[in-house]
Amino acid sequence: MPVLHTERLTKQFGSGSTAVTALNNVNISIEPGEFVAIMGPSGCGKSTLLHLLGGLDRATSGRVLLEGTDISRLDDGALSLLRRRKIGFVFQFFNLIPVLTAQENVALPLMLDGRQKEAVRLAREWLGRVGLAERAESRPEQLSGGEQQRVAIARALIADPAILLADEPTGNLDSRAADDLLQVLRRSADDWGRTVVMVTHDARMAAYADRIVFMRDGTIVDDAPLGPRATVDEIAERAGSGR
Amino acid sequence: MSTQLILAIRYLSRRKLRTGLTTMAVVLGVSIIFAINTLIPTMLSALEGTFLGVSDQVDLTVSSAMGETFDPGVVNMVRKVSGVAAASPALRRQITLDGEGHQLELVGVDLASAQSVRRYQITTGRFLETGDTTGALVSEVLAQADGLGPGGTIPIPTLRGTVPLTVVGIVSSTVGERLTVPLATAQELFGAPGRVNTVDVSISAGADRETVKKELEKALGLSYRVGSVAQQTDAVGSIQAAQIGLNLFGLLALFMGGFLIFNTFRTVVVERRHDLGMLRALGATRGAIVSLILVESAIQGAVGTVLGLALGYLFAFATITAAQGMMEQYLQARANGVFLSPENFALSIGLGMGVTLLPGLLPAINASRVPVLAALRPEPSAIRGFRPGKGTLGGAVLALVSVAGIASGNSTAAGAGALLFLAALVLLAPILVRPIAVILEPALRFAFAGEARIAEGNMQRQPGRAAITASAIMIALAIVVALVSLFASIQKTFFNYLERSLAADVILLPPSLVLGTNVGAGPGLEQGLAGTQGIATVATLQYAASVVNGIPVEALAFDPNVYPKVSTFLFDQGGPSVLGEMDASPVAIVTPVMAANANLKVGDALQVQTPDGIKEYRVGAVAAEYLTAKINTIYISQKNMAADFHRSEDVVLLANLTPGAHRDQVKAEIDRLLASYPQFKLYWGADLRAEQRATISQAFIGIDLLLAVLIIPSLLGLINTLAINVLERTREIGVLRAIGATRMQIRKLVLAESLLLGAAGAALGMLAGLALGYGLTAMLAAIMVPSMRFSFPLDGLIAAMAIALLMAVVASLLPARQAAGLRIVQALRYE
Repeated sequence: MPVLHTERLTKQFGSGSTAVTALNNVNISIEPGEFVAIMGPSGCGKSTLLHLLGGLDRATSGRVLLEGTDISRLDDGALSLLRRRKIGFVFQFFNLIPVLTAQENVALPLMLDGRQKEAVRLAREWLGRVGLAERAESRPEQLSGGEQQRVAIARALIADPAILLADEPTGNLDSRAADDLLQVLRRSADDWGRTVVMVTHDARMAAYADRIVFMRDGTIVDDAPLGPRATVDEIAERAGSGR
Repeated sequence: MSTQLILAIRYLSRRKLRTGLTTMAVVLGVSIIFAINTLIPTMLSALEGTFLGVSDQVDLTVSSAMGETFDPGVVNMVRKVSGVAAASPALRRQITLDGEGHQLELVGVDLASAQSVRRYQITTGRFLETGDTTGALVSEVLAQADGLGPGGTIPIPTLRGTVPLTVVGIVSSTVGERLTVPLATAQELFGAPGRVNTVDVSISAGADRETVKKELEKALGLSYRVGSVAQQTDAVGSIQAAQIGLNLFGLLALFMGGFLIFNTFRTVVVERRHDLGMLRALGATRGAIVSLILVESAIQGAVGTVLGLALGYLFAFATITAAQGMMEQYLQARANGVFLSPENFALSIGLGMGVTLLPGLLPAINASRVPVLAALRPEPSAIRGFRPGKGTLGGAVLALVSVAGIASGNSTAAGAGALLFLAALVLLAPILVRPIAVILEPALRFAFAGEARIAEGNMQRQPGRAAITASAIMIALAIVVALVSLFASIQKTFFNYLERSLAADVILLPPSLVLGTNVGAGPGLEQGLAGTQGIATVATLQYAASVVNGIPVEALAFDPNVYPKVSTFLFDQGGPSVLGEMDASPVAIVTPVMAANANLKVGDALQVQTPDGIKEYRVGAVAAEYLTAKINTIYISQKNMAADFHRSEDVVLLANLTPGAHRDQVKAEIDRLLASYPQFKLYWGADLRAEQRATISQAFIGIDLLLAVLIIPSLLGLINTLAINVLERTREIGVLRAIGATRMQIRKLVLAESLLLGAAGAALGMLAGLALGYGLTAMLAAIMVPSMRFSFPLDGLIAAMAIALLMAVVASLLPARQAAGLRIVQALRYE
């Protein structure tokens, strides 16, 4: 059974003559443990899709099923609880709360869930896994961009979510930090058994995924697993032919 | 520690300046409220102690409800009440020893029973004996102050001039300066033969004080008061009025503090959009976001309240310590420590916390509604045009209703209308800010060529936030303008009374204008004055305390044939013809304050309490003169005073000079006369008027200082808004710097925006202040003085604009420095 599944997912912004369709009847299924990259040109709807998958926004029509639950029917409180327990997010910007230390940022989802006791222990554990054990007490402004994003990944994974959603997580990083980050995401799928969905426009980053979904004008135009020896050029070419 | 608490503490400590400023506003309000409600009860309790003449040895004191004398037969009724061990009648009065206001308490005691209710510990000499007609016991304090010992004499002013008393003994006492004499002596000195004004009671061992007090109240009825002597209505009344007035200031300061907190949290929500969005994305519920903001405001409220309580206590303590000497000298009152009531704590804490939590609630709810996605987008503040909504519509309707109220001519409607107008302007501010900015921009362009346009644009970009800041300034300035106009109106009215009614050339007054607390004079002084060369007409005022239609009043009596020659009544209802009726029938003139309080008009019946019971009078006119302009007073003829109150003692003497009289000669003669009546002081009418003018003006300067306190919270609000504007436009400032703007230009940009906000606030504030001032004056005129007219506060308007611009400059200093100091590359990277 897929961990995440959408049915005729549609999202329109605005109404009447000014309405813009960002997503048009998108159907996608993601299996447990998969690492999926979503690619496409700017404005193709890839971020919108991610937001709908994560319950950050509501679809105009269609359904999103997370582990069999239709999240489009949940109220705000239930959706908050779902994000806290089932979904982990990593964003391009403003990933960390500036007034909290790295460890406190990682512990935040469990703290919000009232699980203070395990929060500190698990936060340390996860900081260790992303290689930042010694930076636990640092504030976000004391960390490099790459370190900040690794803290964000630790935070996204601490509550043991069903799925990890990452929106251009390397957009603000240099290539070395970006590679480090992708390796952590790869381990999330391989070693820690998490399902990862990542939006990116960078073919080199997409090459770390098991499967790439190409989008254009709000629809999926290509969806195929990557061969074990797929190269960045091949991906870029596929992205190009999809266009 | 909960997540909310950790986050709240971290966010607060991250913006130390803002947190400090916001908390200071709460400290300010709470400390005023707490200090006033500590200070005034402490003073009242000290005064009550004086009137009561308390000593630790008297369990209860019975006095007449109106503070007048009564028949000593009451003692027998008191003695019959169960739980009463002993009772002793007494006649006690404050007397003024000299023109400097040096006062002491003189008590006439019943020698047979005095020692059964009070223990007299004689340190030197002996207790009073029958036959000691001019003998007196002096308290230790008095003996030391005046160097008195047994055999020494002390001159006491009485109705018939100074009488020397001989000291027979010194009594150890905790209270201040007191003379104890036989009851008959006191009755003779004060012209109250066979009368007493208190009964001291000692209760049986084991009896409960409260139970005995209740039993006594039941037995004696409403005409008597048990516990303390009836307080001098106008002294206590003035202090209580001051308490209400000062509390109003405290409330206004707190209200401004609340507005500041509202403003702060609104900016906080904008500033933290990303963080709030992130928390929501991580699964924080809306409730969790609301409680995050509320925890922050609660922390500030709690810290501000605790500091405010401490500061208020210190202020009250310092004031009481500083005023102790004066209180002892003039009022014979001694504060026994600072009076702290649980009610005062509850009020201050409630207001301090309420004023932080309530204004925090709306921004908190707004914060919880921040859409997760919108919060995560990099550009938070695109130009947002203001679309008029329900608030604007409500504001417009409110404005129409309020203008109708103000124009209606009805005082209550005018007062309510004025307040509604203020509320209407707050609601309309977002749409008014835009045109005001456009109008003011050309003026600003003189000083700030390029910056003015950008500043105006910035203000229009966030009309909601600009409106909040402008509203905060508006409310502060509206209060300034309104109060300046109100006080100007009051001042004018008082000056009018002063010039027209206090018109006599020579005025003999007790040093304290509080009538009835001093011994007056018998007919000797009036006759002496009339016989003085150079004096034409002499008129006198007599005094009695009374209760009329249930309201404590002072009853003043004059001779209707003479008094109009030296003083003029300002009539609100009726006219001078009333003077012709006052001798022949029970007709009274009531002051406008009294008429408003008791809802009286000409022809109404007055139930006047006299020592012999209720007497019915009729209202012949509503009028006042300077001395009674703010007091509940009825005027009757001296004939009626003698018949109904059995009093004939003069408390004020007024006289005119004959044409061509020599002032120095007159003064020398009057001074000789007053040697026997040291309780009076000679004032030349013109000097007294000048002195009173100065006193009134000084009082208003004090009020102006209090007004300044109200400005502080809006200043903090302005700083806050500017600082957040700078923060929000960090990248924009970076761009400006990158394309060549100098640091000075950036500073000027922030200053220009601050001036625009300040001027917009001032424009709205002046408008609201005029309405508010008009409404308040109309209301006060209806309550107090119908002859009072609205006074256009030109000086208030000029002051308001000056204050606003000054505030704008001061407020911009820090944010301007912050903006100019930004490093370009970092500013450009700022998200």
